[in-house]
Amino acid sequence: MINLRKNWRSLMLLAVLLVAVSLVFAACGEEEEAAPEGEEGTPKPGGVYNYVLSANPTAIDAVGVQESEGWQIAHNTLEGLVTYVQDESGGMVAEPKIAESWESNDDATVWTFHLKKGVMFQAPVSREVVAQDFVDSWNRATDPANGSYTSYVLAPIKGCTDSGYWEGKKGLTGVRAVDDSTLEVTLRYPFAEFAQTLGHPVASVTPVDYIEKIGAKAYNRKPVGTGPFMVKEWKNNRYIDLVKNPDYWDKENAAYLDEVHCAIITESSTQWLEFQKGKLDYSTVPPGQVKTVEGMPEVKNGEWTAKAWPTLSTYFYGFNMNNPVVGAPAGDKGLQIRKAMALSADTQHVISIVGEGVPLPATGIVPEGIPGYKAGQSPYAYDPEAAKETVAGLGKLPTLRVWYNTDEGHQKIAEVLQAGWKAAGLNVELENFEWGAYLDKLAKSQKGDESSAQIFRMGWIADYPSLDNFLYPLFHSSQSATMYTFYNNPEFDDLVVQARQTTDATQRTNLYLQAEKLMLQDAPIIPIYYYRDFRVTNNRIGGFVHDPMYQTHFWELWVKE
Amino acid sequence: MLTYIVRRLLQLFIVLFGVSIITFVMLYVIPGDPARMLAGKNATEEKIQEIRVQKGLDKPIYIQYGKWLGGVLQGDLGESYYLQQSVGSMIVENAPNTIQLALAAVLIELLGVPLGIYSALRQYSFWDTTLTTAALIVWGIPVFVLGVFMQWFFGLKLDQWLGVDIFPLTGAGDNVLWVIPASWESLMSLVLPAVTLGVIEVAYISYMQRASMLEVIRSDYIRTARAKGLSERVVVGKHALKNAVIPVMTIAGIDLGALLGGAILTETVFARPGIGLMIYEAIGRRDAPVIAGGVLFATVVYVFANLFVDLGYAAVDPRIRLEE
Repeated sequence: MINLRKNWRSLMLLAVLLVAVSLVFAACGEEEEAAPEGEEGTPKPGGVYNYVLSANPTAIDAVGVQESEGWQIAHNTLEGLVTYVQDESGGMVAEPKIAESWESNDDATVWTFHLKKGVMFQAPVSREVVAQDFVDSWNRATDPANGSYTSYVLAPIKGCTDSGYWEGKKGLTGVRAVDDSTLEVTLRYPFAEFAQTLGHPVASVTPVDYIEKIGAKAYNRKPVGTGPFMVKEWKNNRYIDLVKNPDYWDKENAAYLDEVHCAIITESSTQWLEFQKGKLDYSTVPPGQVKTVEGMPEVKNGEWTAKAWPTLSTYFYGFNMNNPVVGAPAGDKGLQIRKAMALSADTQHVISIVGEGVPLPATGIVPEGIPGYKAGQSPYAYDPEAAKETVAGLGKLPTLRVWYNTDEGHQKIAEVLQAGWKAAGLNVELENFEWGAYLDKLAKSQKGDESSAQIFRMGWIADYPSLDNFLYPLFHSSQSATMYTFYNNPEFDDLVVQARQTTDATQRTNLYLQAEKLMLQDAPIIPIYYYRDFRVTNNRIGGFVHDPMYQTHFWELWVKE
Repeated sequence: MLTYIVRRLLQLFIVLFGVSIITFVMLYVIPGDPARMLAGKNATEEKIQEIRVQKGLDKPIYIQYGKWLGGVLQGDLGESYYLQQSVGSMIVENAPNTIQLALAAVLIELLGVPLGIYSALRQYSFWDTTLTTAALIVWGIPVFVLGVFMQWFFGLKLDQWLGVDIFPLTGAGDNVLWVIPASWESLMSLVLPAVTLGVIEVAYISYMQRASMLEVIRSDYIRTARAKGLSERVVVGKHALKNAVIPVMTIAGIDLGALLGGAILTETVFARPGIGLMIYEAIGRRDAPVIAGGVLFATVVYVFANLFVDLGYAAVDPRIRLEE
């Protein structure tokens, strides 16, 4: 299986290159036209948008949504108390959706949400949403019998475990409907960014009485929420069709489009051909073709837009802080090794050679787009000379092991980094494992014996746009095992916990940033880059945005012609 | 004949039993904990353990296998770890497209028979050399490379040049009677994947057919037939062809297995729902019930295809007695 997949990707790349070369030749013969001074025009109702999903989602209901494809559907059909919007600085912030407003007590343990009136479930439920619906929905999401893999978002609520499931059999004891339009939530611990987490689909409101009537499996095929679009049909591995919700309660944000056809196409080369054929209005681009696409006449004349969209995700290398060579047991020598590796990690080279210039260099773990983001947090920016000096002062070092999960892209990145580390005087050997085996080996590295992980590739995608989401779950000593760094610094823990208790936004941001800086000084990770998604879109559609949470707001799109 | 068929069907159960054990053992020994993958990011060890218990992955392999086998005997292939769907319903949903694709590919690959015969009868001629060389080249092209090329040339460029959308690049249409395309669009969506899958086998079959035919036409009974003054048409059509086709039939039968394997790649490239794509996704996710169910289905198809090939022998070659 391993070889099949590896060869498959290599040969697919070959095929794609053949097509790319042909495209270049074809493009050479055509005259380039200047991009028109395009006017967006006025949005108008009607039309069909042809979107593409890169995988058949495992689920599209609130409880089961996991990957971005399922999230994309849920984002347009389901709604929660808050929604994420981009502010003027590009940061993603939570704004009221079904909630009119909210407030918390002084230590951010009790939250009161005031709901809007007139929020309606889609047909066939067609009734008003009340606070009890949130109580029922969140209880359903955290019911262990329903096996949600994302219910950890609701873990702060009283009656829930860290795993995101009910503590006992009583359900969530911390949620109650004070009246039809007031929801009170009591948390297990202070968490000032709690409201910011509630734009996640798992926190959406669903008609539980209706789900019990038709059954969870049937509901997952055609969920009913309160969003601007309704699921018309989901055919596995073929498509998911959405239609406009004609009775949408939020008239200002009602959809222009009549329908959205979401084809399910796994291979980016196939998506790209379908896009060129005009069957899709949106596409990913196969590896190695970014520059070719940017030079295409359709892009230059404004027929298509090719753009790298920032996302809230970070690619990094982690250190096993329990390892006796590179981790905390090695004391200052371990820190010097980590520092030298960070100083000699040529991230710009990685971005230009492997990433085709699409990603952005990471200067911390928190990416741009997170409210409060600060650039340059890492004290170990690329400095090969400083790395050499650091290594020279360390005496003889053993060969270091760098692990990554089997993938051609990860391999290329590891090789570029390996060259930089070697130039600094560090001997590094690369090893790769299939994803399942990789996770197992990392999990078993906790005890930090000789054979345990030393340096490994990892990535983090935001669950919700918050500084906390990039710090607490990754580096707090009670959580760091889930990201395999096993980082443990009581000072960092204190800062993050203090931040979580701080209701003043400015003070809270400062505490989180201090924590990030402290963590980066300890260097349990080397930030490599912030992901950006390179997408091509057809400009027959107006209002397109691919937000940093990977979502397209279908209700903002409209057909120009 | 009937005894033979019954015996072969009984063998089918033994084969299925063996294949299911091998599949289970392989899934078990491959490194990687399905529960950990299933739990996704942010998962605590407690959550991973809960999933293991929930899915029965905490039990020894023989108990997991016994439970699964018990279900299979009652017609229940289990439920996907990821999709809230039974494996049986997934197979029913996906099988028609894959069988349709494989049958269409077999029909296309049979074009190799006349091409091979033509080559053999004109050995070392210009056309023989051309066909043999072309066969070798096509045979060496990986199915997914050919797939992307077919999409680009026939699906995209032809459309752009002619201004007519003839071949869809992706998808599959609706069927009637399980595997027959229900519409023109449905038929057209089958063409590119079937040709991609079948054309490589055309090369293979024509190569084998040429070798087989060359061997037969040099045999004593063909020389005798010619000496009797029979026309070349009768010699080839009546005497040589039947014997020359038998080895190729065997290859075509066994080839169905290769076609099912090739369907994994073809269905992925053409975003065509089917058993291949289902297994491909399940392997990536370590979705054991779906992998086991898919492999079991492929085995049944493979065994039945071989049975039909064996029955076909008897029809083509009366020297073969299946009862014995």
